[in-house]
Amino acid sequence: MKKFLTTIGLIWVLIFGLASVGCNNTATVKKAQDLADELRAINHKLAKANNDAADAHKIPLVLHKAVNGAVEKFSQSLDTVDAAIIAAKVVTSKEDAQSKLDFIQRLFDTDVFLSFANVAATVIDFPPEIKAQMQAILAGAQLVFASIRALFAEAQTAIKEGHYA
Amino acid sequence: MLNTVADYEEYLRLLLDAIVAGRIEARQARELTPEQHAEYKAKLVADEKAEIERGKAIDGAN
Repeated sequence: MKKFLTTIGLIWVLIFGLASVGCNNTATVKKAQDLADELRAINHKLAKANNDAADAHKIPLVLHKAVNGAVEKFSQSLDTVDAAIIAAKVVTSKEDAQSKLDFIQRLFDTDVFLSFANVAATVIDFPPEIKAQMQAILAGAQLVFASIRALFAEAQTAIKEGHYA
Repeated sequence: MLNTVADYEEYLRLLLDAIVAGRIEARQARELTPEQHAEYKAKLVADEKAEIERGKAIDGAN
């Protein structure tokens, strides 16, 4: 479970840490900020749900601790993302913007999705009968990934049209 | 406790509901004015950190 949550956290961190660097105009930076805020809101609700479940003695403390640890790491990463988004409002040139975005997309299309695929395979601590529900959580995360893909597409278009700074 | 498949399902459903609720809240927040949004963001971060500390207290108390 811990491994699963850590992996989920790392994926989100990687995506948003890199996505923030790849935002090359005010509109895309704003959208990246919106997505990061969305993840923050999700993280807050996850933390609360996990705590409420522990208070009601519905889950083992070892599981609660693992989830809370993952939530905390993700929160710290979002702090970094917030700072990175502010920094990403400035790029030095069209080439700078393009190379950053290309690099991010390469990582995004290989490492990130490879890691994401591994998440499904590492869900070993749950009974096999509930793996379908686990997929539902992964699908929830996928919705955010879809938004990020759209953001990349917009950023690429913006760079091609010269709106990179 | 998580003794049965139904227990696991309930916990996972709670987490999934949290994801959906977070997404809805964030999208509604985008309609706020910049000043209101800044207030919302500050409160969100504070609430998130407080919830994490609450989690640590739960772990520490047991």
